[in-house]
Amino acid sequence: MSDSQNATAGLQIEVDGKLHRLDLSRSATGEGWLGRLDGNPVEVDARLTQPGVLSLIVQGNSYRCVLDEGPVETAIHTGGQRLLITIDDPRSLTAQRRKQGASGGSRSSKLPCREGSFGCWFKLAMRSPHTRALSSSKP
Amino acid sequence: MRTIRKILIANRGEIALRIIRACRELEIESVAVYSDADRGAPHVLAANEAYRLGPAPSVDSYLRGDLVLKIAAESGADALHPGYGFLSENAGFAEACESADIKFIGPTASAMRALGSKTRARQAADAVGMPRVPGSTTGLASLDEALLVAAEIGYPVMLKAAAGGGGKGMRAVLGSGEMESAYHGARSEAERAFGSSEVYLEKLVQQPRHIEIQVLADEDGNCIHLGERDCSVQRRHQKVIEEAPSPVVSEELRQRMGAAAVRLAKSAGYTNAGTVEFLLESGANGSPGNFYFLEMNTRLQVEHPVTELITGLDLVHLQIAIANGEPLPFAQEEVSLRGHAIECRIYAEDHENGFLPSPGKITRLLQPAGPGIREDSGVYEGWTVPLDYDPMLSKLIAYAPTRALAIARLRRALEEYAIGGIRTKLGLFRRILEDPDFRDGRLDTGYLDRLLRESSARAATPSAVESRPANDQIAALAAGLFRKLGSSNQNGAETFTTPARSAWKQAARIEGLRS
Repeated sequence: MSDSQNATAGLQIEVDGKLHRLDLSRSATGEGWLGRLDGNPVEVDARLTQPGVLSLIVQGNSYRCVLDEGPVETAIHTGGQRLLITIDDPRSLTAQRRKQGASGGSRSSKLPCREGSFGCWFKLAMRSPHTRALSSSKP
Repeated sequence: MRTIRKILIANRGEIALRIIRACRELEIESVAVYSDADRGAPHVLAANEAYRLGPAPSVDSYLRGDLVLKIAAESGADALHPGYGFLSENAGFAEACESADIKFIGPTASAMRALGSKTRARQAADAVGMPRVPGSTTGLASLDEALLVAAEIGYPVMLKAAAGGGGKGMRAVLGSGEMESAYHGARSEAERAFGSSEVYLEKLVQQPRHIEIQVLADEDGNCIHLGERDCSVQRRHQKVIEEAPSPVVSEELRQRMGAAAVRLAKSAGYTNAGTVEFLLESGANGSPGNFYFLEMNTRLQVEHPVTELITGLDLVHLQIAIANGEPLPFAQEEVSLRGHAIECRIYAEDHENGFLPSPGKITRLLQPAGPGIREDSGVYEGWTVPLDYDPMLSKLIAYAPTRALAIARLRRALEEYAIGGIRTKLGLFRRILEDPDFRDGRLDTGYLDRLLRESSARAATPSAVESRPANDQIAALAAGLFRKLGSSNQNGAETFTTPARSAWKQAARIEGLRS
């Protein structure tokens, strides 16, 4: 198990406009997850049954949660409902920049290039935390 | 009697697939046609042969009767099934098929002309003594004539395109002051949609039910009906949910409406499958009142599966048998209705945002199954829903011994159903099926508009206290866990793609740390 999976997550998750606070970490046995949802303790058994489909067992209740990632929004289907999701991870740079409210100006970024693929360099213009534009330059 | 060996299906989507399946069951070769947008469509994959029509727009592909006929002749097809929409009610095309010695699986061109035009169909209804909605039986020659007819029958009235369908070229007129703009608006919309600006006028029946009768007629003059479908759940004259039988039609009323539909079909020498549509007034205490002829659809209907489920018949098989020259294999008295079926038309539309079309790639597709569930679908996971056509994805149909159980099965199936990557109307159907008026069968053509207006108020009503965590809490947990576990989906959504998975984001973050 990787360190990132062991670490406790502190996430702010907006579900259909309603904000939830989630802290989650692996249980000591590594079989499930323990944490707090909106301050209440929660114990979850989670299995990724197929890509994008999660089986959750919470307090003996079983749920199928289907991840629906579209180009403009992300949703989760569960209990016959489609719920829009946004996650704010306080540790992420995006969230930190959002908090600071700074545009940061123009920023260059070296993009990942796999061996044997095009040697690519792009300028990543960070106009605002929410709006990014990509422009290409010569390799 | 002829023997059909190869059928060209001049359509796309779920109906093309539905017909190809019937061909396979009957050991008939199938020929698909496709536009550039549909090269990877399921009907192309399912057919024995497939030929390109042209670019994506319908006018360059599925509406090109000349190309369709050329492909039919070159592929050796001896019959053509038009499905619904596109060329299915084009009498000229049916005639061209006859001339090319390719059997058109549907009515003859003459029957189509007699009953396909709404004004002519109203004349035919008068001729057989069938009650129809009061109004004109010919196209209106001028605005003055429209005002005159409206004054005679009394407002409110409805302007309708004679060649119309699907709610196009229709305008409700509540008073004489609204007539001029409605008249010109309906005419220009009809011209754009159907190539004919002919409009007629009829009395607006307030809050009726939409009831339609399925008819079948062979080439020996036998004609029967298969009972009714209730299609009252509509939005802007587009059907949303259909069911059979109607929750309010008694056996006595069914036989009266059925007999009237058969009389009309016989009067025009109609053959093959067709549907006679009626408006049913609400009488005292919510019981059915008078019924009025509305129009005839001279083709297979989208909603034919609900009739198939309660009669145990396969309408496409029967259509092909009739086109083969075979007599109907049963008489009217042998038709029995059993159980209840309800159909939802699943569209790629955003019902929470003005029903805007939502084309795009289907990134996730989990389809329902189990007892009493049928799905006629035209999509698969990874398929991109094109913008060029009607955005119907599939038809989800539940069948059960009773209406209550059919609703329960449909609700269960909708819970199992998940379509990702695009917006769909699945949520709307769940809302309808939970609505007490729907569950009690208190429906009319204005029902859905009322429900949509009331929905925001209802959504604000707190739900009953449950011992299970609420769906939004579960979704929050799932969101956190998807983030921790990864989703095995690399669509690039910021919220779920873990840094280890996204080399792009990782590189950007490294750069961010260095700067």
